[in-house]
Amino acid sequence: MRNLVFIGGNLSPMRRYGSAVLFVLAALATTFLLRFVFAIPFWFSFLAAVMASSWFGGKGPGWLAVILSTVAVDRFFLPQRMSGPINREDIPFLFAFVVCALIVSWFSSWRTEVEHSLKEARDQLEVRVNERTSELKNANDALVVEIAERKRAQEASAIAQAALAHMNRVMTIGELTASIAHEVSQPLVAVLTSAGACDRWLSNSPPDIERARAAVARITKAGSKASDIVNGARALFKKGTPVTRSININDVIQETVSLLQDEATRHRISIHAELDATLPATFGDPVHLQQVVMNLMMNSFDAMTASTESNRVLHLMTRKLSTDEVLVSVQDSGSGLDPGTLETIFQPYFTTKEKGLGMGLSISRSIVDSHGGRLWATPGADSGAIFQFTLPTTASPIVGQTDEQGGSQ
Amino acid sequence: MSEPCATVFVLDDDATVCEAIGDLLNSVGLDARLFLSPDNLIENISEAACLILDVYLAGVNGLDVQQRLANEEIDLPIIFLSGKADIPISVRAMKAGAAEFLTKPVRDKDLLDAVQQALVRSQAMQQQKRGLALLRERYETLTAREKEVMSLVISGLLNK
Repeated sequence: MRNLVFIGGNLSPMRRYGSAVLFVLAALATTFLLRFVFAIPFWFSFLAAVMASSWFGGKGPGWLAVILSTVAVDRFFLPQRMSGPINREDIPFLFAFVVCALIVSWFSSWRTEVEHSLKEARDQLEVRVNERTSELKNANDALVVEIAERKRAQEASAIAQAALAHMNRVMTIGELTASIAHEVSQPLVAVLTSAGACDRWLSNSPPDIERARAAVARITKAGSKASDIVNGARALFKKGTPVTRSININDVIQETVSLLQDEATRHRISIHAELDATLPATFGDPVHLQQVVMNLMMNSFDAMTASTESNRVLHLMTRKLSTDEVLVSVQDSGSGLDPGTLETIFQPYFTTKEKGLGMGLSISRSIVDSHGGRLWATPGADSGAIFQFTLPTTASPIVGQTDEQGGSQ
Repeated sequence: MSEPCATVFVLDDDATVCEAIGDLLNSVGLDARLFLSPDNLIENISEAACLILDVYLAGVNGLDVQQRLANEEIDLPIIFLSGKADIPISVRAMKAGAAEFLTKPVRDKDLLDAVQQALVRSQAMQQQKRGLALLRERYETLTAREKEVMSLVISGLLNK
């Protein structure tokens, strides 16, 4: 029925009115045929014709069907009189018929209109829903693209950061070449002299096996010390993704101090370390954390070398800040910090040195941040500067590493 | 090899290096005393025949130690050991009277040769010192008048 209305609504007026005439003719034929079945004329088929016309063609064809039906009923199915078009006694019947036909027609066309407008509304709604759906889909596609782009950018940024950190390490090591060579030459001196001594103890008559053995033990000890230094320096050269594991920051600091000891000595700087032996373990990449400690220490060395202060002391301190955090503090007796630049010093390319790139503190901060800690600077009580950073302990939850954490504890 | 009482002092802030050098000296029959910081060393320096001194010590410079010894008029051969071939520092050390300036890592033979030479030099210095002391002692035995005559004799006059 809905399709019929739909088709009728699209037809030309000629065909719609023509169909009304056809419906009425069909009703006429049906009524003629049914005269042989029923005693009285079966004019209900005319009502059906009116209804069909209204449905099919709308209001106009409905009215046409009413008029045609009335005329047909009057002409063919009411007793004919000569005195006029309509018998007086048939008027109420005809009137009732017309009223019925009109109601049917009006009702039909009203229903058609309602259905039509409902359909229109639904179509409109569908169009709007489609529009919104495609808008949402576009937005979603854009979001997916943006997310992918963002992820790529983040990856690129991580790679750039790693490259920068590596460059910083390589440059620092470059500055430290002389010191590291000295650090390695110390155990080598022990190895060479002990080997000479050992040779002589064995050549004596009788050979002094005990002392030769002691010399060999010293050679082994010094040799492994040299190899530790070389491995430590090589680790700093290594490129690659950070390896996170449970570490003691005290070990990292001690290793760094042994690398920088000679550098400190050359600049007449004494290093005082107060490392809390009861410090809980932290999570991190030892190479990157060593880089942070090294950057802070090298900065302090530079600050103290540049200042006129004759008492050059570097204080290293670690302590437990809370159950979740350990604190590392690097304090120097250098020229100190301008309170106005306490934050700007962490920005890239900020430097007060002639040959510095100004990346050290910026890289250090991003390393500490990536470990879930904080790095900040404060002016020293009397002179100098204090750089401090925190690291979460293994006891505190680290996002994405809960399983690993459980395994290593 | 040399006189048995010759004691070599070794000052290096690295304990293993100190021990190794001491052992090497012992293996050729020399006495060695090991010091990790200059403070104890200066108190006992009179017993030393020569000194092996590291240039870069924790907190102090080997050259400063040399200067302190010179200030206290302690004259003994010093063999410097340096982590690097630093020309300005070696020049300063040699000018200030160092016996030898060796670069680490040093070969055991080079070190022992240097010690040997230093001990010979030390011995010569000791003998010279002893000779001088003897002369001074004898001079002190002269009377005031004899001293006057002596100065005239030295200037070329006859002692008649």
